[in-house]
Amino acid sequence: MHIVSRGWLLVLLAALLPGSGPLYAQATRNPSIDYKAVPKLEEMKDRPAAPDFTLSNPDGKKLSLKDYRGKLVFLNFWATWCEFCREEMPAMERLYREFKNQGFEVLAVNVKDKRSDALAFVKKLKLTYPIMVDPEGEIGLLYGAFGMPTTYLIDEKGMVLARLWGPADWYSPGARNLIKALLEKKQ
Amino acid sequence: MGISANVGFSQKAFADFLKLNFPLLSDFPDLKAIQAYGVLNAERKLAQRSYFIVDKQGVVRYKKILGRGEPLVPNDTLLAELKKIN
Repeated sequence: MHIVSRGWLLVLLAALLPGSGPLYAQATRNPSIDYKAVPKLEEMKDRPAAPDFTLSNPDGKKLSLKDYRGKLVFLNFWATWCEFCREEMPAMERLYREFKNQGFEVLAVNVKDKRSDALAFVKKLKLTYPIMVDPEGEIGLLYGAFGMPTTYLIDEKGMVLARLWGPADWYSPGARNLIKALLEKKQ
Repeated sequence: MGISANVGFSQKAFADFLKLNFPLLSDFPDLKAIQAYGVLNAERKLAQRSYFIVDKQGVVRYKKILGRGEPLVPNDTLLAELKKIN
């Protein structure tokens, strides 16, 4: 056990020395993924497959989760009557704008809401990421959105990386670093 | 154990959310167990809320199928039924 600890120390020192060769280069190319940087975000270590679903956007166009394979997907369940959802959505928009051209997608599923309320809210906040409507809450139930907001991070192969029940500051340095690191890992 | 017509992904989320310490089994898509116990809501393809106590010999010793809006069976009642078997 002592030998193992010493070995880890040696690796760490080598990685910290500027320009110290392959280890340093590897550390900068593959930043560590810190899910704990977002409070209460829970890594799904068994990486379950995210069930596919198809819903309409507010204009009636059908969208499916599988259409977004190849991207890092931020799947969020929300409703206009959910105060915490309303609070976190502007930060989600900022996160989306920062990373959308790097293979990041936000999908916001509006659950058990009036379509007119959802549309008015999206317009008021000038949200630009895709909105899907789930008036009966069937997809919300499928994903365990028993309380909202509920958010899943899904990798480019459609596997769930992490889940969060509750709100978060999605434009915090920790959240941005996490998304950045996941996108860099994807590449 | 709990059995439902939900997919495993949904059941796991439910179990995690409620921190359940007993297994949930998915009867999706065939609904065979739900049909075998006579609790299929055919219209909605869901299990009716119901309770079964099965003894060590595999005999059903207690059965309660709830109607729509009917309150849940209290734990005390279920424990009393279990005591009758023991």
